[in-house]
Amino acid sequence: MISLTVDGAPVTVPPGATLLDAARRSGADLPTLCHMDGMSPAGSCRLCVVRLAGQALPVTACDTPCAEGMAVTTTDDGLAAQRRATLSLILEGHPAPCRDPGDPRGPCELERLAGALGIPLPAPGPPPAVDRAHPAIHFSLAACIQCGRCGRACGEIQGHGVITWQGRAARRRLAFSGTDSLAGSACVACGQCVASCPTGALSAAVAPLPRMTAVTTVCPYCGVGCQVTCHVGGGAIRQVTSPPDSPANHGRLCVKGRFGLDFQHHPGRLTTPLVRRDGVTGPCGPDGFRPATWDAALDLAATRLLEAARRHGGGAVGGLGSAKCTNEDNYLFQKWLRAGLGTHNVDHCARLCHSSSVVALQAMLGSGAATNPNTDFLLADTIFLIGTNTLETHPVIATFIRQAQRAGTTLVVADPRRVGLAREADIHLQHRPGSDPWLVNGLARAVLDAGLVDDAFITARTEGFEVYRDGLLALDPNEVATVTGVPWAAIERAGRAIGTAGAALTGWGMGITQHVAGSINCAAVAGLALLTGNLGRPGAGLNPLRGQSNVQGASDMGVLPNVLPGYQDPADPAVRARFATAWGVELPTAPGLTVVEMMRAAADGGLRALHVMGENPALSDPDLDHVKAGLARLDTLVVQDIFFTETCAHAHVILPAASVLERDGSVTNTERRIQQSVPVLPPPGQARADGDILAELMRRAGMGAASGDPAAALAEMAALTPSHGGLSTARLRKGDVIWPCPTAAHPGTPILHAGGAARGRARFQPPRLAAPAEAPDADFPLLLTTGRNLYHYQTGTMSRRAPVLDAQVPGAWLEAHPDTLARAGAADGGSVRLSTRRGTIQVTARAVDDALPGVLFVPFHFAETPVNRLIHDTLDPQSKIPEYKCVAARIEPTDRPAPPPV
Amino acid sequence: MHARPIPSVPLLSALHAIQDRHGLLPADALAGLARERGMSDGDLADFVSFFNGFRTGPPATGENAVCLGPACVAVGAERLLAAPGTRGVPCQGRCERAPLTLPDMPETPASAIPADWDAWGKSDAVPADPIATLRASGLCGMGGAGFPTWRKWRAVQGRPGGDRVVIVNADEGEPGTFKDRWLLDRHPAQVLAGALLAAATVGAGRVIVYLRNEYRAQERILAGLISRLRAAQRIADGATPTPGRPEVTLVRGGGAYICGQESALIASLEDRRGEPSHAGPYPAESGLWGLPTLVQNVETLYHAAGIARHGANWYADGGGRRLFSVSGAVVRPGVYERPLTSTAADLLAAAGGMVDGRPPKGFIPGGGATGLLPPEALDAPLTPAGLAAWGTQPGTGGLVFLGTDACPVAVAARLAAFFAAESCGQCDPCRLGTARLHDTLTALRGGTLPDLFHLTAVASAMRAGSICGLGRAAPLVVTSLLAHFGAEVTAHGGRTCPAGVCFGEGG
Repeated sequence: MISLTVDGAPVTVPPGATLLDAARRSGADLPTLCHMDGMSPAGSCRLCVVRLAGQALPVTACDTPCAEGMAVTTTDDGLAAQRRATLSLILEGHPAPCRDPGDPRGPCELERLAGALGIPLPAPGPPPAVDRAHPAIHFSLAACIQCGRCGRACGEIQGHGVITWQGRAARRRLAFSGTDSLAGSACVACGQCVASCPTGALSAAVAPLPRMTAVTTVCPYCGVGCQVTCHVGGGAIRQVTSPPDSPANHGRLCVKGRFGLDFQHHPGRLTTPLVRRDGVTGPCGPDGFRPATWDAALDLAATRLLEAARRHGGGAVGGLGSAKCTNEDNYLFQKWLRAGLGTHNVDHCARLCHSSSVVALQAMLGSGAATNPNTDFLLADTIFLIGTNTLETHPVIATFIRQAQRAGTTLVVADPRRVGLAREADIHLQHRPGSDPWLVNGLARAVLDAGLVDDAFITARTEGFEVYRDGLLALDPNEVATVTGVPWAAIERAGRAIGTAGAALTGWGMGITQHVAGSINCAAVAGLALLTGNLGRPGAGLNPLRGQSNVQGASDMGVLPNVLPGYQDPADPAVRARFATAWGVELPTAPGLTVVEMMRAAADGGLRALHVMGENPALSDPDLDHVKAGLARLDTLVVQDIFFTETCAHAHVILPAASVLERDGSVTNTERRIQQSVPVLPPPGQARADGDILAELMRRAGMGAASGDPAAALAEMAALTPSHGGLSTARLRKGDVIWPCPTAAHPGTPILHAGGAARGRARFQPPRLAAPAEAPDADFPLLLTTGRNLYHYQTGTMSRRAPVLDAQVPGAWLEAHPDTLARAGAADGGSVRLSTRRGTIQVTARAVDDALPGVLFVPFHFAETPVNRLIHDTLDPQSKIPEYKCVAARIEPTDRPAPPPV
Repeated sequence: MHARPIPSVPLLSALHAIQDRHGLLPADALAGLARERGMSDGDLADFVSFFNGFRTGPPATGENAVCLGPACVAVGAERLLAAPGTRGVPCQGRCERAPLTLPDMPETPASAIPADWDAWGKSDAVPADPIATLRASGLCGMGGAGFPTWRKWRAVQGRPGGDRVVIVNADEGEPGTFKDRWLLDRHPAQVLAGALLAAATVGAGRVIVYLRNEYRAQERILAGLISRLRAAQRIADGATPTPGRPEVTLVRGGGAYICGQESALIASLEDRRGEPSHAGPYPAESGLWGLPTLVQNVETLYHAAGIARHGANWYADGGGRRLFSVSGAVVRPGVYERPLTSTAADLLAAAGGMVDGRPPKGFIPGGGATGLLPPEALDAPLTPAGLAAWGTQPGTGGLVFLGTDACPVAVAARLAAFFAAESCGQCDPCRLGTARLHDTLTALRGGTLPDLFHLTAVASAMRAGSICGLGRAAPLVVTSLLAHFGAEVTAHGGRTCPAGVCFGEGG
């Protein structure tokens, strides 16, 4: 600690503290403009000047480190005059007031400071010119005071580096990718610049209204778990900010969170229950439905679902829960299916994203969830990312990764595509799609060969190492290099980066999970971490990056066919007894079906009735034609959603739901952090919270006076679920909790497996190699892989109804190496027919120089380009996840006649 | 401070190579360069836009230019601006040829053999303890700050770790100063001998000569000299430093006055905007690429080489010497090596007196940043103490004499324009203050007297609040004008220019 005096009063500060920190600690109120907490100091506005005993000239407090014995004077006549003179200079020509009334950021900081120092504002002139070309962010050069906070926010906080300077002296001004045009720059519209701007220079395009109300909740998009403060005016969310101290995101947001929440207000929201019109069969649009009263629609839904279960048995009904809905909704949903309809046929989209991660981690460690907090990426010496386009799918986690790399962390990225972070990585392993088992086990072999094995960890904390090691030794490096297409030397280099790290954190996504070898891949990744002792410590662990706002929670709540809430085994008699007592009914004994199995059963006629809550299998599931055939064959399809989705076209009853921004409940992010989500707006029309709808159905099934009250549902769940036993709505309203949290007094568990794996000893799995289900052949010589884009989200139900997001990226494209396109006779920007054994879609080609030759990529968000039609539904035998990431395909220009079907 | 990766070629040099080839920086070449260097296009554009010497499009006007440095303005250069298609350019460091127009007559082609090769090109005996010798000589830096040379050398020598850098600061840009250019013409080998002595003394494996962008003739001289030093095996041949034989690289600046400031110079060599750093670390602790770095002005190294050869007393006797650049309305403008305690009157006499034989109206004592002094100051020693009495400092030793037909308001206004254009823009007092001072003097030339209260506040905010010397010194141009040339200022307020330069009388 450092001791100094500020205005005569002793102050003690930690090493590294600045004079500004010391001054604040002493209570001195120093004016600042260019300073912002969490960024490097600029020292450019020169307002925080203080005097240091023994120095002739004043120094800026924001960028002067404290030293022992310093004597600081924060105010005297000279300093006051200097501040006034400098502020007057900055204020000259300032277009006050430069912010709209009601701006969530408050009045302009410059104008506020001028007021505090008694400096009159310039007389109002004509309104300054504003560049309104960017869809989300407006820029007023006249209001810019060149504090540079936006540039540091863009570069240091978000890592984009779009905002820089251009010119010098009086010609110096902001540059966007080196130009004057924000709209024409590489800006990805995260809006961090808006959040950091002290004036009205950078503002959200949607103007605020006076007297908006602010409600802080959890972003409904991805699994990062960002807190969003929604500023509501005129009945709509107009602007979004984030509290700087938000635990999962530290005040950072991406374009979806900051500018994409207005999907809420899309005119297509479902506002009244709908019932299929008599005589209408097959897929139909909204006009195939007639409005109904809630009672009528609920009666019909309950009757038909219960009737199907009664007549055909529980095995003939199923339900798909939602990673978008709250924990409480999902708890009630699986209870409705299990206790109300008597089936374990309950699953949700986690099946399609990280079920393979869960299978592998559960078996090896005893828990399937991510081990470390988002911000632990900042603590890692090496970050290993595989199969995750983090910059686009988890943009805020990517900011922590970029920040770590800038501070010296080595970034290793394995991905067949040269995705954003792969370009920035220290090492990019661009392996062939589907070669992950070779690559990851190859990395482990390289670690082994380099003698970088953590023997102490293996001895103390693991079992099964010998078999694992022997398996690695049996691996042929030449074969690894051949299959992956990555030189062995590069694998060795990456292995060394992981093996020599004091702490290595692995993050992964769909790139390795969505394979028939998904569980093998995830086991290999976990094996590598165990081999190098990277588990259970800050900055060391295994983080499957969960994709949806509550996909972790939906799984935790037991919306899975094989487990009850908290991953409790329905075959365990004690567990069965506990639930039977609580629910007043015996649990079904027949095992349940997974998502894809339910779709198959529907097509086969074994599944007669399906209840879908907030999922869209008609666009998200593999082999869509087959899925739609199954949905069409159902006797009863009940859909609860906020929009008329592709799945609704097959429904018999549609129940309009409140969005997650319109009701109470908790959600669990990728870190296992449970945060309370609160209503920002009332639901439109007659839309109701999912929990209420489920309670109504359960009441109709005679399950007592079931309540949709989230607090009651959470309490019931907590009482039945040891890992969540300490949860209550009252506690969550006070702050977030990271499970496991068994008791009310338990603080939560940010890092899993800290004192040893949850299952006791972590168990190595022997390295296994398995090729994708389809290999390229003469008819389909290329490999198709699918994925996501920054501006869109899953099947686009939300993002494509958010004007800013849809304006940025209005449609799909196909990425391929220029040679691959040329070989097919296709041109960059031209239309191609993309075919697999399942079917054909048409899409615009885009040449990408650093794509792997022979590998195609298409994003899956777009209903008009439903690439999932082309995916086969062969499943990973362990996790039942389909293989979205590696399918044999071919392309031809659309101006060429289609070849005969194969 | 950990050392940063060392790029093989500074970005400045890579950009010059492209521009020398194409005459400008074509967009596709810039895109290629950004890729090659792992920079974003925006970051590269940012860097390029900082410097005056790079252009991304063809020049806007004709190639005819008039230098508007103080010496040139003092002898009526502004009149030449009336010629069609003529633009003004900042001081070009050729003040002895005022008024300077561009294109200038070609400089005498450099001889294949540097002028002082025979005297200094060969290996030289190094004194047993160069730092002690320097200390005894009393030599101080000649770039403007006047720091004792021996201390800088000792600070770098004493740093732990192996690699160090010596930078020869040949980015001469102070208006009215041309002695470094003069030295590079006449004594280049002695200057580099000083640099090699410094490198040997502090243990530097690299010497970088950072040359002002406009000094193209001197670039050729230095390039020839470096080849000869290589051939003579006095420096490393190729890019690998060898013990005792440092690698010597010549880097041209990008055209930015501020890069004469050592931390800004270092920033520009690290491919960053040439912005001075705020407070520490000193280059001796962590300079270029994080290595201990000695930055030394051309003239300082010239003297250091002489001291090493001839002994401390050779310099110390008589209290030390420096090279004064003398220009303006004098009979023999040029560079004069004279004792440090010389007065402006001594230098004026050395230069043959004023052209019109009358006393000067005023003078700049040590380069544009030292402001304007009245004739009463002619007998003040050009030392820190002697000039402190007049509120200024010796600066770079660039004296500019104003004749009776020169307008001090015009000279000051052009200097204010210079500082406003050359401020790096980093800190608000300087970026905004230099512009405000320029506005004030432009208004004065238009007949509007300044608001003294406002001006005083701006000047004090700049002096106390600016990050570096540019912004701290820039107000002196205005405050010295107001203090010493009140009658001229007042006359301008009445729309009269006593010299007939302003208000159109002078054309």
